[in-house]
Amino acid sequence: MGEMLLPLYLDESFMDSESEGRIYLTRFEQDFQKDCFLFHEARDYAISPEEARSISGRHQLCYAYDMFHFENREFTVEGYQEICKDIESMIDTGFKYILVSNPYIIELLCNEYSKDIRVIVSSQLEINQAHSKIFFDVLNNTRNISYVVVSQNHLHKQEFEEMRRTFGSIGLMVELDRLISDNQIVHEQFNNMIYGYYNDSVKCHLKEYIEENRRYFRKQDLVDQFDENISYKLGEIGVEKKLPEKNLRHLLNNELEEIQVIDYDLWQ
Amino acid sequence: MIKFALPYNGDMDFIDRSLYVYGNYIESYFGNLGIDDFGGGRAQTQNIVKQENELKAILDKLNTAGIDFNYVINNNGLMNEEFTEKYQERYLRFINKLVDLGIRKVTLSNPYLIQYTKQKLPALKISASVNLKTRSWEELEYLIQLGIDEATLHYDLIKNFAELIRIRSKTDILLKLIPNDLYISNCPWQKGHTRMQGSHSKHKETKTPYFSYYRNKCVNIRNLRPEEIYSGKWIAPADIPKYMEIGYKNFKLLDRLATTEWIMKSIEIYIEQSRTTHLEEILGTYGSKSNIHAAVSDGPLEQALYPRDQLELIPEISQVENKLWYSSDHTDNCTHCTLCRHAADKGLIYPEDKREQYIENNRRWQSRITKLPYIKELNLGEVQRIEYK
Repeated sequence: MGEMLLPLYLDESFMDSESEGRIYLTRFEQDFQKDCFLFHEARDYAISPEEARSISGRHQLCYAYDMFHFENREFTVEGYQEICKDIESMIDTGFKYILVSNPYIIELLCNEYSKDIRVIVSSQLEINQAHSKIFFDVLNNTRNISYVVVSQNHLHKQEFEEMRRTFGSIGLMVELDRLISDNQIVHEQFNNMIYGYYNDSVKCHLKEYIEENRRYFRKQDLVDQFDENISYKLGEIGVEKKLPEKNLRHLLNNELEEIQVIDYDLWQ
Repeated sequence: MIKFALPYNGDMDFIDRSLYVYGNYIESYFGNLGIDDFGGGRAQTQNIVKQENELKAILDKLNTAGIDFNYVINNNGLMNEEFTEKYQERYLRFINKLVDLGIRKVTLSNPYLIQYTKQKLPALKISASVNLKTRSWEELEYLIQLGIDEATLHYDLIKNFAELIRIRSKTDILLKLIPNDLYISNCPWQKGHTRMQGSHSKHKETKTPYFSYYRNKCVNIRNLRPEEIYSGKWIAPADIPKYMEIGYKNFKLLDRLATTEWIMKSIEIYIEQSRTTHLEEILGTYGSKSNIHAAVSDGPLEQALYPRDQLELIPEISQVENKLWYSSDHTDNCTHCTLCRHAADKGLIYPEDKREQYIENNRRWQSRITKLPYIKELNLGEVQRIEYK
C-alpha cells in the first residue's frame, strides 16, 4: 500500500482529517538550509520543535531537508556539526522521515542514523532511470531508505515500470503537481534558482523564467489513475493549503487530468 | 582533419611543446587563472594559479598562431548570486579585462550568464560547457537561442549515434566531444561532483575542504560492476574515425590537472588511433598523472584521508570490438542488454584478482568519512584539497 507525502498545515480541520498512510512535510525555520530561497520564502509555514513534538505522536512527520548544494560547507567541522545537530533535533522531536538530496548527507544518514530516522530521497537528486540505482549500490547501508521521489525529466511510463522492478525494497514516489521538462537544462536552472540562496532579485527572475520557458515544461505522464501501490507526493512547503487539498481530491477521485501544477502559484 | 581543444595545465612549456609538435591539430586551449571570483569545472590548487601577465603572454603567443584560449567559467553552483547587481558588475569588469588581455572565447554553464554575456559583449564567443548536460538537439537548440557559438556535448551522447547524427544534421556550429574521461553512463553523481568542483574553484568567504568524495563513488562502482567501464562514455583511440565519419572532428582532451608529459602522450595516441591495449593509461579518472602533490594519500587505510592506492583498483583495459555501440540502433537502456558485461569479461584484467579486497577497503573507508574525527582531520593544516597523488 503506497503512502502520500503532503505539506503540513497547522489547522484543526487538516490535523483531524484522515491520516493513515499520510506523511506530512514540514521544517523548522532555523536550520542549516535557512538561507535557501524556497525555505526563506516559505518561512511562515515552518513549525516549532514544540509543535513537532506534539504532532508527531499522532501523525507521521517528514522534515524537508532537500537543499542540494551547500558550497562544500557540509565538509567543514562547523557545517558537519550543524547538520548533525539538525538531524538529532528532528529525531528528538519525533520526525519519522527526512526528505534529502545532498549525496553526502544521504550517506551520513545511512551510516550514522539508520536506526533513528528514515530517508526519502528528493527528486532533486535526479534519479530517473533504472540504472540510477547504482547510486544506492555503492553505499554501505541503505536499510533506512524508504523512498526515492523520482525525477520525471526524460522519464516516461515504460522506464518507470523498469525502475519499479529494479529498485526492489526502495519504494518509488511520484510527484503529480510539479513542472517537469524533457529539456534538462531548463529544469536544472529552475531547480538551481529554487534551491539556491535567497536574495531580493531571485523571485522576479524566477517568475520571468517560468513564463519565458513555459513551452519547455510539461505535466507528469507516469500514471493516469490513482494506484494504491504507488506512493505520491503532492504540494510543497509554501503553497496555500487549498491547492494540495484540491489536487488530493482529484487524485483520489481518479481525475488526474484535473490536477493543477503548483509551481505557477508558489511564487505569486 | 582531427582537431583538439587542449587543457592548459599551468605549464607554459606545455603550450610551447604542443604548438611545436601538434600545431596543425590544435583548435584551442582551455583553462583559467586558477581560483577566480566565478569558479570553473576543476577544483584548483595554488600551484596552477597564474597571474594575468602570464595569461597575457600565452594569449599573445596563441593569437599570433591564430589559436583561441577558451577561458572557462563553468561553475554550475552560482546559488543565485548571478542575479545580483553586485555580481553582474564584478562579472562584467572581469570579462572586459579578459577581452582586453586578448580572450575571444569563454566557456559558460549557466543559462542566465550565457544570455547576459551575449547581450553585453556580442563579439565574445560563447562555448557551452559539458556541465550543461546537452543531450539532445532540442537542448542544443535552446542554448543556440540563448546565444552560444559552440558546444561540448554531454558524455551521455557518446554511444548514442542516432542523436549524434540527428544533431549534426541540424546545425553546423562547432561541436566537441570529450573522448578520454571514463564517464559513468547517466551518472547520478555528476550534479554533486560538478558543484563541488565549481565551489572549490572560486573565492568565497568560507574556507571549505575538498576531497575525492565523488571521484571515489565513480571508481568504486566500477570495482563493483566492471561492465560500467564499457557502458561508460569514452572513446577508444581506434574508434575516433567512426565519429569523424558522422561529422564530429573536434575533441576536447582532459585533464587540466595532468602533467605535460601525460597530455602530450594522450594527443599522440589520439592522433595515431591505433592503441588497443592499456587504454586505462589515457583515461582521465584512471591513468592521468597529476602535477599536484597530495600527502593525504599516504598512510594506512584507517588513517589516511584518501588512501588512493588502497581504494582505486585500476584494471588493464583492452579494446573490445562492438558494432552495436556505434550504430543508430544502440540505445541507452541497458536493462535487457548484456553486451558490456561480456565486453568486461573479455577486455579487463584486474591485478592479482584483487577486486574483492578493494571493495572491502572502500566499505571501510566509507564508514569513516561520515564521522566527526574524519571531518576534523580533513579540515586540519594547509592542504585544503585531496586529489591526485
